[in-house]
Amino acid sequence: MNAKTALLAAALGSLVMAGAQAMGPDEKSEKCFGIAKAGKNDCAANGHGCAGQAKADADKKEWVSVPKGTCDKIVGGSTTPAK
Amino acid sequence: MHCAGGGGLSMAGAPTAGLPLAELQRRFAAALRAPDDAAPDATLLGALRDDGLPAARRLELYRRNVQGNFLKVLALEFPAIERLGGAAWFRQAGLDFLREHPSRSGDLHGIGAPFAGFLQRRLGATPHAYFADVAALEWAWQECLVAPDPDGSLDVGELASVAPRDVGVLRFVPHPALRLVGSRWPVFTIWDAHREPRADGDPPTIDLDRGGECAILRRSGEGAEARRCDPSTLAWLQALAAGQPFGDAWEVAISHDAGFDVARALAEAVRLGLFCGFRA
Repeated sequence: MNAKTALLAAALGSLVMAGAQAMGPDEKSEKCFGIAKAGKNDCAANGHGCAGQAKADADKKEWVSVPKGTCDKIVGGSTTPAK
Repeated sequence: MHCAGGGGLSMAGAPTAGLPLAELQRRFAAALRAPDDAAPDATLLGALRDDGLPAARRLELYRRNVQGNFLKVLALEFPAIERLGGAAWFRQAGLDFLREHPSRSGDLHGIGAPFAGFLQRRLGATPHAYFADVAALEWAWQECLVAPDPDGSLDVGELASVAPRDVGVLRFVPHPALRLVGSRWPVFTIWDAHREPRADGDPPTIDLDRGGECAILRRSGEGAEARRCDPSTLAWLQALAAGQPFGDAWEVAISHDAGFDVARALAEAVRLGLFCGFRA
């Protein structure tokens, strides 16, 4: 094993040893459907491309990002979009 | 259907007034992109019904809506460019841009894709050449915001199964929202100072010659996050994102900085979720 391979293997090894976890999607928030005011949705859905384009209050397909675990406590809130 | 041949306007009152549909559409599209002081297209106006409002007035309403919406979306996508250039300059540049790059999609979000290139052609030889790089950063931010979520995430534990001799040919799969921007100007500092309205008055004066900056843009929660990085890290990530193997990417990085710390860079990239998988 040459020096370069040893260096790269060590880099990978230390990563595995550290048990690093990718942050990935934010664990602290969840999408909450059905509670967004018109024009206050957080992202693309429902046939439009951007935040702020929801056309009606409390549309079941529009969502806002809320702290994890809180969506089900909100009237009309659902963590899954209406079909 | 019988073709009138030549005397097209003699068919006035028919749906397209004798104009072939493609010609009518071409003239209509051109009229929507025309400047305020452009001479009206009499042939087109002859083909439009009045219907309560004169045809010229109806076309004017349509034209102003198209141009107004285009400018509004462009300003939402490039807030720093609008602040740097000023509202009046941005409006004129935006209308010129619309004429060169009309929307090709039903989704207005896509209009900003060629804007950095447009600014490069327009300003590349001027003291405002850095506008193009700031616009590239703003567009990267927009792409990062709307990129799809990945199918899976990187399982660090699985990397343990890669044999040491195969580490050099390992390829990481970039997160779909990962964007990498480098410039010979301090684009991150400029962007950061101009992207939001400031409560404390004018943005600070930034020395354009203070050196280049690089930025990593990534998905964070449901939004996006940008952070500075050094040039060797940028080159390393660009190589990996382009599908180059781990060993080759390292060679690229140390050609920028012999002291490049691959272990630290890898740990940071994984912590930030820049990769969503790997192929051994």
